[in-house]
Amino acid sequence: MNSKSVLPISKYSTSVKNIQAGAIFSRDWAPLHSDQDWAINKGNLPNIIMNNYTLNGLIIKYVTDLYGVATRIGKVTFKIKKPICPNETLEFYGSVTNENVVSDQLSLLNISLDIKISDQVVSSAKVIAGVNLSEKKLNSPWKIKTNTWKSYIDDIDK
Amino acid sequence: MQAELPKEIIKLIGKTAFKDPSPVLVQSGLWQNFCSAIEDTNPIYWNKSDAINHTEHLIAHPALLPSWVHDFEWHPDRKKVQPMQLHFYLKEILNLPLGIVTEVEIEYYEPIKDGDEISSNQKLLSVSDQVTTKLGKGRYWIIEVTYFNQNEIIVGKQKMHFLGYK
Repeated sequence: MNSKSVLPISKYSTSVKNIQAGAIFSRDWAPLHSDQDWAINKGNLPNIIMNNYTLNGLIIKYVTDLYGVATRIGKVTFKIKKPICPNETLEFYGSVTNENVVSDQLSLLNISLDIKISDQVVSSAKVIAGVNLSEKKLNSPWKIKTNTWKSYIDDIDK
Repeated sequence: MQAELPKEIIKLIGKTAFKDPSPVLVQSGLWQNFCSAIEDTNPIYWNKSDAINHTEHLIAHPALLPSWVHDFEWHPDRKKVQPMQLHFYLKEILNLPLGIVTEVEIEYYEPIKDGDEISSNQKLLSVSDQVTTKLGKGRYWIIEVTYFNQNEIIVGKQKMHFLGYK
């Protein structure tokens, strides 16, 4: 994977079942994420909507699917612009906006994402991730001590 | 004319207002249910022999960090503790019955593993002047939540940006 690049598009189809499951399994019991009757008749929504933990999970999945098991997520920032309902196809468009080479075994990537439904941006996100882009996978970003890792996030976020 | 913030809100800014104890032990079956829902195949959540090369243990999906301080919807021995109590307190004091999350920032410092007990502190960082939005009149506020493990090590931090309105 070229570090500074437009990243491949990924798709995820929503359903009543996976929106409910994402909410319930993230211990989010709010009815707007799992009770269609409540969402439509009391929440004044078109249907149940995806909760922010599930959306964050999908953002992280997009990055780790691309860069592999050693990818260490440092920070995720995202905005929800439109509610995400069942029976939609989410399209994830990502690009690397900066690569900070810490060592030959660690690069810190800034990744920007737009999440779209039918060409409309429903969420935008920024991710800071530690990856090993070297051919020699000698060290995993996960081996970095917590305080050092935190200082990397603080520095790159300035 | 701009309505002033109530004194009880001003007093809260910059201080820890609520603490959430750990309501549930972190367990692999719980996070794997979530990974299944989002079809996340990353072996670091599923396969110990792969995870051991990176984190020494299976780890929980990072997106679930705030979930580990969410209480049970029902429990035999206690009433449910509302998550993000500070947000609901602000809505009540400011008489803004409706609220939405507008932005989330979450930082991950330490991986979460089986058997961890996660607790958190909620701190009010700021409250805006009154605003008029498409949804109604209200205020924006930012709450910072710091997450700790059972050894009191900070494992992550989240800033939640809210709009409260009516």
